[in-house]
This record gives sequence, structure tokens and C-alpha cells, in this order.
Amino acid sequence: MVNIKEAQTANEGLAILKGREKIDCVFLDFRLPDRDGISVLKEVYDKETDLGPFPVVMLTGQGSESVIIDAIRYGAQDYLIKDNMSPDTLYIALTKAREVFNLKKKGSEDKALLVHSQKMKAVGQLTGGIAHDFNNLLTIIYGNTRLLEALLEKLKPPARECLNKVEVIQKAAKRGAELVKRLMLFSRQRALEPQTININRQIAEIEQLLRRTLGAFVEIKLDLSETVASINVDPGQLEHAVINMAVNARDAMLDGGVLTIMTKNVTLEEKQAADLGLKAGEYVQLSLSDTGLGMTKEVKRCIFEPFFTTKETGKGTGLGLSMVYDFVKQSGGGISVESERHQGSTFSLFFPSSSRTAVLSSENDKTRNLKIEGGNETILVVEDEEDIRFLARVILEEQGYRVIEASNGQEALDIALTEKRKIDMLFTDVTMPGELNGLQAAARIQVLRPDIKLVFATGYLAETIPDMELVRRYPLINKPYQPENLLLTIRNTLDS
Amino acid sequence: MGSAQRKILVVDDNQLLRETICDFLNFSGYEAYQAKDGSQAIAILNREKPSLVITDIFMPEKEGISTIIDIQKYYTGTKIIAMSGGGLFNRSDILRSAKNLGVDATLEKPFDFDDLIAQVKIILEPSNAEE
Repeated sequence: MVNIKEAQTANEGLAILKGREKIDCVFLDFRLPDRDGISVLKEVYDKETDLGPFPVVMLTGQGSESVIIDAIRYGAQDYLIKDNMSPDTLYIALTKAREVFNLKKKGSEDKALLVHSQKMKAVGQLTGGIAHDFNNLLTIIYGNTRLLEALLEKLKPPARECLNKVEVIQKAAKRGAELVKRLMLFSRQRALEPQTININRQIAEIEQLLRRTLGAFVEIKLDLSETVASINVDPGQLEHAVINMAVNARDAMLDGGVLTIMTKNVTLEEKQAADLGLKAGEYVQLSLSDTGLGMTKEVKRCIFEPFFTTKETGKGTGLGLSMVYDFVKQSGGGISVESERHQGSTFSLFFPSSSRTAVLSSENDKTRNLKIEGGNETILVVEDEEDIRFLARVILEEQGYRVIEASNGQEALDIALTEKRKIDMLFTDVTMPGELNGLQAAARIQVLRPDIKLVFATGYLAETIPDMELVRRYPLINKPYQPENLLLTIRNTLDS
Repeated sequence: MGSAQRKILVVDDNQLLRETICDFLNFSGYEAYQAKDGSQAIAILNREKPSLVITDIFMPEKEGISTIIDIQKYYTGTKIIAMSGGGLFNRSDILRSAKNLGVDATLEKPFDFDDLIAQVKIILEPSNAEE
């Protein structure tokens, strides 16, 4: 049964298209009283507008080849010459237009997904074999610049200008090494291990972590539907995704605000589902809304691309949301974002509902079952690598500790000098760039605060550190941190 | 210190890197030899009997690990430093395997070359560690 809607002018037609009704095909005349059909066609297919797109059959008078070419170029699926109109040709045009339209739509979606996953694969490859090669090349640069330095210093007089240039090369190489580490940190290639879970329970488990991550100035509101269905996802990746989006929300609300986390069951109709690249059906929706800066249309378009970031260089790798996107797609779901500049953003994730019962998450989550005592002491964490420092903060704060951060020895010393409250512990990396390394900073801080407890961290084997004497007296943790190990050592040291 | 204590074998499939490390070791007063894979390494071990082997772990598969096992079996007493391709979280499990095998030290690329020499000193001249 065909339902016909008529319009006599372009504006009338556009008004209908902008309305709520579902239009399956548009027959568009080239010659309209108020505008020409091509301009209407352009508007229908312009991604900027909120229209369709819809399958379009262009109607034209005899002999207008250029119109036909333009029509197809600007997106029409087919054309009909008015003098040739008959029930058959109309029917054929209608069917063909819809078929071509659906094929194209699926094709461009597939293409978009393919490009995206190629980029993600590129990221994955970067963090796999290529990171290894990069590290080799960096080591070569390190070694030769160090040699160059040694040779130049031997000259009499020493070649000062050359030495300065060598220092520049060394700094750049170090920056390269940092970048590689960051990428590897954020692009962990873990295979997805989906489980049937209750999304509300997962959110409840990370609620404390979220509150700590977002800080005191961001209020978290939970609007979780009690009857929400189970979903089939990797719980670790889900948590990772939520934390990622929460951190983005926090960064958009630097003066504070509200983050609302909502879950509910939804039924997605054809169009809604298609917009998300999904089939119609039952889904569980997870939405995170913030009251932050919001995004422009341009930013919104790129938001899920790997390496796209609005943050300044050095802060953020631009990989967070692309990983969220990847995770959602691989879980059979879809993601959408609504945002207006200065009106906040809402990220909505849709996961297919599962009919299976959720496994009790506590059965699977070994780490959270470990009864490690926390505390509420104040710990000064000193670490030059931002990501590692952030991790340490998150691990410690989750157990209740109060964390003060410093990125180098001098900063730590300044904090020790100016901080009014008691600092119970100094947890510092041993080797850090700058004037004061961890050991030197620790020695000076101990003078200022004799009661302060010390724990050291290092990425190297203990024996390689100069001034081993000082280090030997205190606990030493190896990087990368094992959360349990870190917490146990800190707790034991505080108690000693 | 006898001359044998100064012989070091560097095993890595990357030629430039091998040469860089050997250059630096020679510059620092040691006698460095190169091998690009496990079998070359064994040949040099037989011929020169170095007291320390610095070896990459991947090369390109897990050849580094099997080289380490061979050295421990057939050239006991030879010290070993294992190098890894770097990356904090993904490679740490490989480094951990090396540590579990009982190598004398591990280094993550890219490493500071002063650290490398400090390690070498400590391993080969424990009584002369301070410089």
C-alpha cells in the first residue's frame, strides 16, 4: 500500500521531509515554482541539514541531459522523464531508487567502518611490531648521541655549539620514546572476552573510582533503570570505556558540573537503528551526559577518529574515544553523540539486549575480591610520566588515600615546603629528568619532614641505580606497577 | 682484571643497533663482539668466551629466550643482560620471563647508555662498582 504525500513547491516539500513522518522515496521535479530541484536535492543530501537522506527520483522534461547528470551527481538514485511516465516506469523507478539507496548507504557505512578499523589496526600495528622498531631506532640515537657527546667533550676547547645540538637531538629522542610508551599504554591489544552482564552492576562497581576520577567539583547522578536487560560485553572494556568518557566529560567541565549516567531498555526502530548501523530490535542504552563546553559540528564529526584530540600537545593521545567506538562496534552495538557548543554533550551507547541471565560479576572479578586494606593517609606521588602518575593516583585513591602529584623532584620539594597538611608518605620514581632525581628529592624532603615514609619505584633493576645505599633501606617497587603489590607495599610501609 | 673479563657479546638482529652498542662498549674500555642471531652467538661464545652476553629477546621470534637458555646450559657462568623492545605494559611479560630465567639484568629499549655501562660494571666488576 503506497501512501502519497504531495507538495507543490520546494519549501512545502522540504517541510514535509523535515517532519516526523517516515518518507521512503521522493519524486522530485526539476522545475519547481520557488526553487530548482537540484538545489533541493543538494539540501536533502547535505549532511549539515537534519534531513534524510532519502531515495530520490528526479523528474525532468524531455532532453535535459545535463539535469539528469547533475541529479545523479548530487545524489539522486534515478530519474524519470515526464513524458515517459507510466505506472510501470514509476514502479520501476521507485523500486530501483530504494534498492540503490540502501546499497549505497550500507556501502558507505561499511566503508566508514573499514576506514576506521584500518586506522585502529594501524594503531594496533604501531603498538606491536613497529613500536619495537621505533625503540630500536631510538636506542641507536641514544647511543650515538651519547658517544658524540663524549667525543666532543674531549676536544680542547670543547665544541660547545655542537654539544648543544647533540642535547637537542637527545631531547627529541626522549620525547619520541615517551610517545611510543604512551601509545602502548593506551592501545593495549586485549582480545575481547564478552560475558553476560548486568550493566548497572558494572557501573556500581566503578562508581567510587569514577567519583575519585572526576573530583569534588563534578557531581555524578545515576539514573539506572532497575529492569535493564543483560548485555553481552567484555566487562573490563566496558569499564574502560565508561572511565574514558567520564574523563572526557570532566575535562569539558573544568569549572565543575554534573555528569549523569543513565541506563534503560530501548526498542530501536528501523531508522534509529540504521542511523547507528544496527538492526531494529531491543537494546540497552547507556548514556553519559555532561554539562560542559559541548562540541561544534566539526569536532563532533571527528570525535571517534584515532588520534583526533582537542587537547593541547602532550595531553591526551586522542585514542580514548576511538577505542570506545571500536569496543562498542565489536560488541555488536552502536554509539551516538549529541552536543551543542556550551550546552554539554551526551554520549549514548546501545548494546543488543541479551536474553541470558547476567553472571554475578563478583565471580569473575578476582582483583576486586582481594581484601587489600586501604587507608586515608596522604601520599605524595612523584613520577615524570603523566600516564603512570595518573594510574598510581587512581589505584591509590580507589583505596581511600589522598594523593598529591608532582612530576619531578623540584616540584615535589616545593610541595613538601608549602603543603600545610601532613604528608604521610613519599612515593617516588628514582630516575627522573631535571635537577633533582627521586633520590635527591627524597633526601631533602626527609630533612623537612622527618616522619615521612619512603617508597621508591623504578623501571630498572635495582642494582643499576647509583646511590644504592639509600635505596636499599627502603621498599622498592618495580614499574609497571602491579596494583596489589603497590597497595600492599604502601600499606605495610605506612604501618611499619 | 683479566682481559677475559672485558669481553662482551652483543646479540641483536638490528645491525645499526648492534654496532652502536658495541661502539659504546669499546669506547668505555671493553672488548665487544657482535652476533645477529642465536647460532652466530654460539659460534662467538665458543671462540671468544665472553664473560657477558647482552641479548635482545625477540629477534624476531622468541629466539632470544632460547639463546639465553642455551647460554645458561652450555656456558654456565656467563653473565646475561636481556634487552626488550620496550613498551611498558605489553612487553613486561616477556621481560618477566627473562627475569624468571635468571638473567643478571634486564634493560628496556630505549635505554640510557650510561645506565648500560653502570649495569655492565656492576655485573663484571662488582667490587669496583663505584666510579
